[in-house]
Amino acid sequence: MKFLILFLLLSTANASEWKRFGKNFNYLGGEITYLNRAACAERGKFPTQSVFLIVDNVNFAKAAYRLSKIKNLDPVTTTNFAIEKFRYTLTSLIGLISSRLLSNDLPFVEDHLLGYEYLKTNWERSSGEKPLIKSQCKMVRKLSTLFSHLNVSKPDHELFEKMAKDMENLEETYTDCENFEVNESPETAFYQFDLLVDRNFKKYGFKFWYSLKIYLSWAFRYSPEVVRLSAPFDQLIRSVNLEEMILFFSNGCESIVPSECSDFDLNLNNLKTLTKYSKDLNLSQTDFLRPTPESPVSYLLSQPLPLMEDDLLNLKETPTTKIWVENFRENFLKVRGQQKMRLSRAFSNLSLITRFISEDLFMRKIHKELVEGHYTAQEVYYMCSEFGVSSKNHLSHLRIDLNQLKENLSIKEAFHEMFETDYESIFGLFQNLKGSIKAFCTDLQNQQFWKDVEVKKEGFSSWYKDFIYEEEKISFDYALTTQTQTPKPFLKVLNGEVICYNGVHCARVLLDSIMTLSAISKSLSAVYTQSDIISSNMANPYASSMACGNYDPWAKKNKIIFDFFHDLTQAGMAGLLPTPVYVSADLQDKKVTSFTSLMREGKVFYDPQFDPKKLKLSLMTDLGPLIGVPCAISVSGTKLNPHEYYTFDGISLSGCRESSKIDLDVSEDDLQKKTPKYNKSCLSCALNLRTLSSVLGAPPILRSSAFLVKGVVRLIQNLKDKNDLFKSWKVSPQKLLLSFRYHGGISPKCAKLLLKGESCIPKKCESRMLEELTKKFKVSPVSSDFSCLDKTGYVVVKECPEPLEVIFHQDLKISSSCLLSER
Amino acid sequence: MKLIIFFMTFIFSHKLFSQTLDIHWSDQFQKEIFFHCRNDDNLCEMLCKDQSFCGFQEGICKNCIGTGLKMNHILSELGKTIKNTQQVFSDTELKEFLLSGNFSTLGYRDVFNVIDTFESLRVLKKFESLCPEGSQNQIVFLKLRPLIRDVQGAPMVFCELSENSLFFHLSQDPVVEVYEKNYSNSDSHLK
Repeated sequence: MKFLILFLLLSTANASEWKRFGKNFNYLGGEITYLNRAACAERGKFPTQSVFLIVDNVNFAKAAYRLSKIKNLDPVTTTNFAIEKFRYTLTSLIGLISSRLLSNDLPFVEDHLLGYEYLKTNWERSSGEKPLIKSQCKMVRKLSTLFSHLNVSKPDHELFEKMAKDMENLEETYTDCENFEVNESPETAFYQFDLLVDRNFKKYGFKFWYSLKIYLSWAFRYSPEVVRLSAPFDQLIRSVNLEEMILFFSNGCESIVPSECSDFDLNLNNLKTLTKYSKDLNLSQTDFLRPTPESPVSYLLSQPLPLMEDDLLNLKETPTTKIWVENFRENFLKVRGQQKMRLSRAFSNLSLITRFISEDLFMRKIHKELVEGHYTAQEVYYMCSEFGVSSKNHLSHLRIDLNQLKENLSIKEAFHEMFETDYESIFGLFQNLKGSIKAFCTDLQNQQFWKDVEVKKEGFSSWYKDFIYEEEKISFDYALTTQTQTPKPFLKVLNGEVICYNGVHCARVLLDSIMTLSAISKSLSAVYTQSDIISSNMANPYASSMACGNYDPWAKKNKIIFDFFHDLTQAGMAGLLPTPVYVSADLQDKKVTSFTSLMREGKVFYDPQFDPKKLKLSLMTDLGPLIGVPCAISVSGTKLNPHEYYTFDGISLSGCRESSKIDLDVSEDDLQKKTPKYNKSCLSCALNLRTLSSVLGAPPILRSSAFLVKGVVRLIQNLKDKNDLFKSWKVSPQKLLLSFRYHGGISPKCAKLLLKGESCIPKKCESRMLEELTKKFKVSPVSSDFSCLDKTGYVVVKECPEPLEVIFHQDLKISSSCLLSER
Repeated sequence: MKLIIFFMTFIFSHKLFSQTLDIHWSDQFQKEIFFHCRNDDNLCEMLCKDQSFCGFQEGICKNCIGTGLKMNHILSELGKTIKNTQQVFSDTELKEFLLSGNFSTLGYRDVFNVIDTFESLRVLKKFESLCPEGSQNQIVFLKLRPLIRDVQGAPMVFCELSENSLFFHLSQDPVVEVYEKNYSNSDSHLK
């Protein structure tokens, strides 16, 4: 029998319904985009084309292990094979759904309430033809420098060199998702999915990710494809709680879900806190576990904005993916476990107290026990203080918003997982009791009940101590005790645990449970989900700040443009520059967005001796780039010094059609030529002060002026802002690797070319030829001699003692004595 | 003691099933349950039109392999608030429940329990506490929602006794004691 099962296991091991990626799969991928703070924040508005998937299959492994024990099979072999099958099923299904959605075989889903039948019908309709492959899956083994776009805004030559070395040993960073010989960790796995999308993806990307998650949840359990993919463990695999086992997060600044300024969204983005290593992370001090967490929104507003280099995902410290993922998993599970435990206790208390104790009974019991002398003054004081503080309206983040709690879907769903009673009814008693206790306490106060009583803070509930005393070591696993002795507990489960002992204790337990719900409600959805797959934009440190209006990446740029314009006109007003334009506008941030709006709003005046129409036209022509966003500015001449007089040849600005909205690049280095060179796709529209002057009849050589110098200096200085002006660099991994191989390293000069999207091979035709050569064959070029006229030449590669003879017209033809291995 | 006496009374005063029930994982790793009936028992006949044997293949049990609140709640409350009500499933109830196919079983040594330690004595005691003393092979039946197949509750337990076996209703609500001294006619209330 054992042999039969082993045969069954082995015979299905290579079953592959969808060969997703051929051997020529290009692991290097497309361009790597580096963004600074402003650009990253801005990019967060767009849907991502690349995501990471964290898989925690510990519970599934436990089940597989148990199955092997029950079946008397070898536990290690069976468990490992079952894990392979589980991961294979999951990654294959994600690939299949992505392809069906992107091929329009599957319609997007816009409402998660559309249930089983709707999804089933859509799925069955899409099951006809095999869809084109539209996604790539890679297993990430090491968080190498190839992920440096997650914590570096502008790479330098040293980083480029490390990246090139990591590319040379690419198998250390990535492996194929179906390569089961590499099993870094039986507990966890880390994948990267890259989509092959069209240009309109920006329009439907968020719908795509939303739909992917919905279909994944459904198809994983009910689709016939999964039955086949997961055989022979289909029943086991389809019975797992998938939603608690996986988490998606975007690979870079683009988003997987549109960011919103809500506790829910902010908590999802705050999951990055859990990537910290245990030694640096005090979980009980995080808002996930504090008894009185701040609202994530107010926390966000109180924090300074991080930089990309702050490495909030803690990738730099991480030697392997396994360590990073397992650390994250451990923190995540601790938080989830504690939240579930607290939630479970709170639900149980609330459910039982509200079902079995009426408000009337509560108050009669409290009065009676007070009269009978059961209570200490302290205990009553605790109750009165706690109810008093919880009702204070000005303590906004502590104040319990019962309506919000009632409407909180995560809490509501969680409650119904455990109890069948009406969720909303549990708040009725609390609402009424609050008023009665307030009156009761006011009476006692008037009677000077607490005169000369010294209150010990130890007896307060944990949430009260956390809030009032701001104590650091507050245990969230705290059961409220009582010092009052009564003959029998007020409420207890028959032959089971005591819920609460007396009237005052029961009231405090009720409040404590409500406070627990309130605390957990702020972050539960980030770590516990009943039906949705968790997805986060945690790789973008600014997504939340943008959504909450806490950061405006446009503000700095707008101000710089306006300042410069203002300086120019100041120069004109001083008579030093014959600019007949005057501006009367506030120079406040965000007030003025463009030159056009200034003109429209009548805040630009003209010197009457000029023809306004003509002038307007010339201004629009010359100042055009200032209205949009300049992406490159070059200043020729010597170094600027505001204390000397200078003659400027001109200032050139240009904007790229593609990325004019976000890119702004300033270069004053030696490489910058007098006439800046732009890619063909860029719109080059230069503002040249000499031209401006000549149009207006000024002398050909501009006279310098203090205003003008001040303006230009300020412009240049402002444009050097590394963080708050949009800056981005697209680096081609192929060109980087080629340059590295060709020169044996990356020099600072080469790094600058790479940042411009160019390779460091002097001749372009030669560069293209080498690029093609390394794409096709596993070779490392050392040197080459190639004629761009003849399209022929020689290449010396490490892998062959003799130079390769190459001809490169449309295709690459090689003649060599060596047998070169193809990629 | 009260519980044992009650069970003894029950065994002699109610219609009993005399069968055994096995949870079995096939070589294709499919979970199945098998009833073996004796001649004087009509359960197999009633369910499968066979006098001595009846088998069911269980489908998927959504989220059973996991630590979601529902599974957590059921497994932690078994033997505490989820208790034997000492009420036996009628023929009609049993037939309707089993033939619907909307159920999954849970034994003390089960693949669908990844929350408790495997084969621990504590778990065994928990399952044993659901049945009369002396019974063996206690199997809890989870009720699943049609189509979706997620767990709705744990309404039934199978208790295999040496002579006869029984299917009992499980309580879903705890029995609570409220001490209301001087506020009502009795000192203590069971609710």
